[in-house]
Order: sequence, then C-alpha cells, then structure tokens
Amino acid sequence: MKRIFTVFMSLLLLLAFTMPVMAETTKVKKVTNTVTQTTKQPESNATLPNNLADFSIYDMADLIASDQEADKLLDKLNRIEQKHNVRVVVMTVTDLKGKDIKAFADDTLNKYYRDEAHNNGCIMMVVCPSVRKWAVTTDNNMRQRITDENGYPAIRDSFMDNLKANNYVGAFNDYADKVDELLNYYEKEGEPWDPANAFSIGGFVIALLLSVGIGYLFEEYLRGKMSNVSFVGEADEYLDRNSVNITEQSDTFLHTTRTVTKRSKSDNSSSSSGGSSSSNGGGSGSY
Amino acid sequence: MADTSVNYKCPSCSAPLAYTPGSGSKIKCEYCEAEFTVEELEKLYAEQEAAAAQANKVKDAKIEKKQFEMEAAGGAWDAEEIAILKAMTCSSCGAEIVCDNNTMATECVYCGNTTMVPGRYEKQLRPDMVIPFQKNKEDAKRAFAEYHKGKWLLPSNFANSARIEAIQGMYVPYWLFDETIEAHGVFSATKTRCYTDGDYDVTETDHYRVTRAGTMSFYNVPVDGSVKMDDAWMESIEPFDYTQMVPFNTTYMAGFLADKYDVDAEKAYPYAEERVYQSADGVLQSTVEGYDSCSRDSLNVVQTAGKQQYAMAPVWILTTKYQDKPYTFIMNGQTGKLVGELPVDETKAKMYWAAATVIVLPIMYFICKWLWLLIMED
Repeated sequence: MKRIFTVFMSLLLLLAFTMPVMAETTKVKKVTNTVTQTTKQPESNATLPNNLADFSIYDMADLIASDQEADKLLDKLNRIEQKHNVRVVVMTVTDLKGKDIKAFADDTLNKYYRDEAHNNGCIMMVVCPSVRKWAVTTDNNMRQRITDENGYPAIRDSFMDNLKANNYVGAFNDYADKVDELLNYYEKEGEPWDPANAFSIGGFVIALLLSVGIGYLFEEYLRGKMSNVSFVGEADEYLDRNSVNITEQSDTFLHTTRTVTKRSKSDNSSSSSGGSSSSNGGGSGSY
Repeated sequence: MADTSVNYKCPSCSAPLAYTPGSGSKIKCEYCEAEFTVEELEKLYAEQEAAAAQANKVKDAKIEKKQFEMEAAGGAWDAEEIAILKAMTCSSCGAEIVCDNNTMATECVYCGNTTMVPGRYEKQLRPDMVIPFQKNKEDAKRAFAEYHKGKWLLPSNFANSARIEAIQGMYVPYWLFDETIEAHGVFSATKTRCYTDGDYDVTETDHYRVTRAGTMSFYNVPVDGSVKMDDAWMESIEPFDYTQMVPFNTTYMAGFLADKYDVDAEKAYPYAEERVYQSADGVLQSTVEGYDSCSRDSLNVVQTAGKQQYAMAPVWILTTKYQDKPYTFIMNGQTGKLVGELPVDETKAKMYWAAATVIVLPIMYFICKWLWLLIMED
C-alpha cells in the first residue's frame, strides 16, 4: 500500500513539474490539445477551461482537420498578435445550448481574453457548425482600430464565401489576414480603415469614363455656340392661340401591365452589433 | 438687250434717294434734306417714266436711220446665257450693269447707286407686302461684333484679322401662308404607380388610348422663296414682326438689293405644311394631361381654309474672310437677330475638352467611389 501511495505521489509530482513546461508552449501545442479535448467533451460556456486565454485557436467542433493546417493558422495568429499587441482568437463550438452566438462570443471574450498585456484589443471569431452560425466580437480597444461601421463588414465579407462553402480553414485564414490588414492600416495611417478613404480603381475607371464624356459634351456645347443656324421645324410663333378649339376628347383605358421584381437583399443574415453593446463590437449571422 | 433701270432721285437736287430704315412711309434726301412721302414719289416717277418713254421713241427713230455693221464684232450669246443674263442701264450714271434673272434690285459697280430692274417684275407676281428695314448698316456691324463675344472656341486672331468685306441690305422674297386646319390625333398614354408588396417591388402601368381633335389657325407662316438663300439660315432669323408689315411699294426698296422669288408658292407650301403639322401635334399633345407618358400614334391634319401672300423681308448680309475662307452672316433687318457660323479653333476645342475632364474628374471620382461602395456592399 505504501509503495502504491509512493508511486501515485511520484506521478503527481511529475505532473506538477511538467505542467509549467507545457504552459510555456501552449500557443504552439494548443491546437492538438484542443482537438483532442473537443472530441471528448461537448462545450458550453460553463465547460470552457479557466486557461482558455492561453488558446488562440479553440476548435471544439473539430473543424480544422489536419495538424498541419492548425499549426499554420496558429503561426499566423501568433504573428499578428505579437506584431500588433492584440489577441486574435478563433473558436468553434458544437452547441450553443440555445444561447445567442454573439452573446456567447461577447461573454467569452470579456471573461477570458481581456488582459492588460494586450492593450491594443481583442477580436474573436466564433463558429457553430451545428446551427451554421458565426459571430465576430471585438472589445472597445479593438473597436477603435476595427470599427463596426467599416472594419467589421470588411472582415465579414472576407470570410463569408469560404464559410458558406464549408471551407472553415480558408475562412479562418481570411479572417486572420483581414484583421492583420486592418491593423496594419491603422498603425500606418493613424486612423481605422474606412473604404471611403481607400483608392477605388473601379470608381476611378468609371469616373474617368464619365469625366471624358462630360468633357466631350462641354466641348460640343462650346462648338454649338459657334453657330446659331438651325431649322425651326414648327410654326408655334404663327399660331393664333385664341383660335384653338378642341372639338373631341376621349380617353379609353386599354389594359394594365404589372411587373414584379424581388427586392435585392444581402446574401447573408449577418447583423452588425456595433451599437448594441457598449463593451463589444462586431456582429453575427448565419451561413 | 439693254434695259432701262430705275433708281429714285431727289426731285429737288437730283441726288440718289435711299430709304432710311425705320423712317415709316417717308423718304428724306440725305443731301438737301427734302422730305417726300411714298405716294408723292410714286406720282412724280409715273410722270417721269411717261416722258422718258416718249423721248425713247424719238431716239429710236433717229437710230434706225443710221445703222452700223455690227455682225463682225463679238460672238453670239447662246440660249442658256440669254436666259440667265440681263443687261440694263444705270439711270444714275448711264453705265451698263449685268445681272442675273432673279435680280430685282442691284448696286451699280460704277457709281454705287442701288438700282431697281423693272423688267424683272414683268412676268412675276408683284409682292403683296413688304417689311421695311428697321436696322441699318451700323446696327449690323454692331450685331456682328457682339456675336463674337463669349465664343470660347473662336480663333484668337479672328476678331482682329477678320474684317467685314461686304455688307449688303437685301429684300428676300417670302411666301406667307395663312392656314386654318382640322387636326385629329391618337396618342398612347400611360399612368404608372410603384409600390412594395412584401419582398417584391411592383410596378403597375395603365395604358390608355387618347384621342384629341380640334381646329386652329396659323397666320403668315413664312417660307423663303429664294433658292439662293439657305432655308435653315432664313428660318434661323425668324420671327418677323408682322405688325410693321405694309403693302408693297418699290419706294421701300430704294437703297437695297432685292431678289424675286424663284420658288413659287406651290413648291414652298409643303414646308409651311410640315411646320403647321408639327405645331398641331404639340397643341393636341398639350391637352393630354394627367399621364406619366404620352406618345403620338397618328395625326391627321386637314386644311379647311388658307391663303398665301408674297412678301419681301429685310435682311442684312455680312461677308467676312478668315484664312482665305469666306464666312457669311445674316441679320434680320427688322429685329436685328444675327445668325451665322464662326470658325472653330480645333486646338482650343481639344484643350477645353481636356480641361473639363480634369476639372470634373475629382468630383466624379468621389461620386463613383461612393456608388461603387454601395454596389459592392449589395
């Protein structure tokens, strides 16, 4: 009995010494741990581990199939986090237990990921494949860099195509790339990205064509002023207005034509929650 | 072949008389300031013409007695030349003036006096009415100078180098048509309403067949009766103020050139008819109210009464030359409306095109970028 107790204690000590070592390498190893963890226990907010903040990818729904892809994505997220001093998180869940995905994302971000160390802000993407819902949430610091009006829609648009095609890894990479791009823009320009400030090639091409057309019309107008010779074509000047006598007036209804067109709608049901919460930005939707 | 021409001389001092634009029915001698009414001059000249005819008879009788052998000198005019050309004697200086068949009044190249050609009128209708000149040569020059202003594509040196080479007052033959018509038009009209039904935008268009008929009268619709005068130019100087139109009298033509008509009323009428047709369409369509769109399906116009008058209308013709190319301008001798085509500096035209493009581009860019963002968001 004493030998068994000794072995058990030895194992506990070994475990106690090895844990800090594992903690040092969580950001690299986490994905494998997460994948394993997810397959074993269904998630809920209550079941999230206390050290969730150590994970930049928490894939409970097992959407990232290969370790290689997971490592690559994790590298990307870590690089962005270090570069911009932010937290950029990807989380997948299997069941929301009736909770709104945006509220779940906000709660999780506020509870686990807010810290003083990453004071440039946090952003998290949550996907629940069972109900085909997604959410992106940001804290207030991140909202100053990625605004609900412009930055969030740009992130949403970047990953929606892949998300709809069930290409989750692609969607997560799109999300990470766009976050990196928007943070780079903020750091370079000193203000959050606004499409109104960005150069639009499409807009320029159309504007150029229209401007050339307007220039041509102006030149034709000037050319037209060089001559005032033209046929009159009618005899209104010589009409005796008092002599006009309308002798017959009839208006006959013939038929009605009806055209029905479907109103254009956004191709996803995402809704911005920029004004819905004082502490979180972003939005959510279905795919 | 020579014929006797007529120009009015002052009965008091024998200086040539010319009608002063805007002087009503009176003619004043520029030299002795004697003033005569149109009726007085007509009476005096009728007496002079009778005396001249008697004198010619006596003269011809003397010439018959002493004929020269003329056959050896010069060649014979062919039939075509004879048909076109007409020679006459200037009654002021006695020089022989050659003009074409349509000339009613011309300027003597030797003494500069304007001379009317009575022989021209013989086989032609006498004009019913004349609109006397109200604008003089100086008015025409001012109008021409004014016409340059504000023309951005005018060559920079045009105003300096282009001098008025000739400026002539001329009476142009016009046919004036009075028409009373019955017009019957059928139109297609629509009323459109748009509304939203759930997720759908619905557009409903009611189609109507609209019939309108009516009568109306047009007075003095002008059609120029001269082939030489371009129709577009003559329509461009319209309208004339017919309240100043008076019965024709040759006195008003003193001092001005004139052409007789070479487009008769029958040939001119279709132009008036087309203009009346277009106006009738406008009148009937203006009564189709309460619709969002209206287009003509058919229109029938029948003339129920009509008449035409032959009138002479006053026109100033200005000729200028720029870089060896002639430019002609025409001014309504009554209202002063001047029309014409100015030369265009092609380099300036391209520059203005480019400048307008560059100026508009930034504005258009911001508008298009905004629209582009809206499109991309959808």
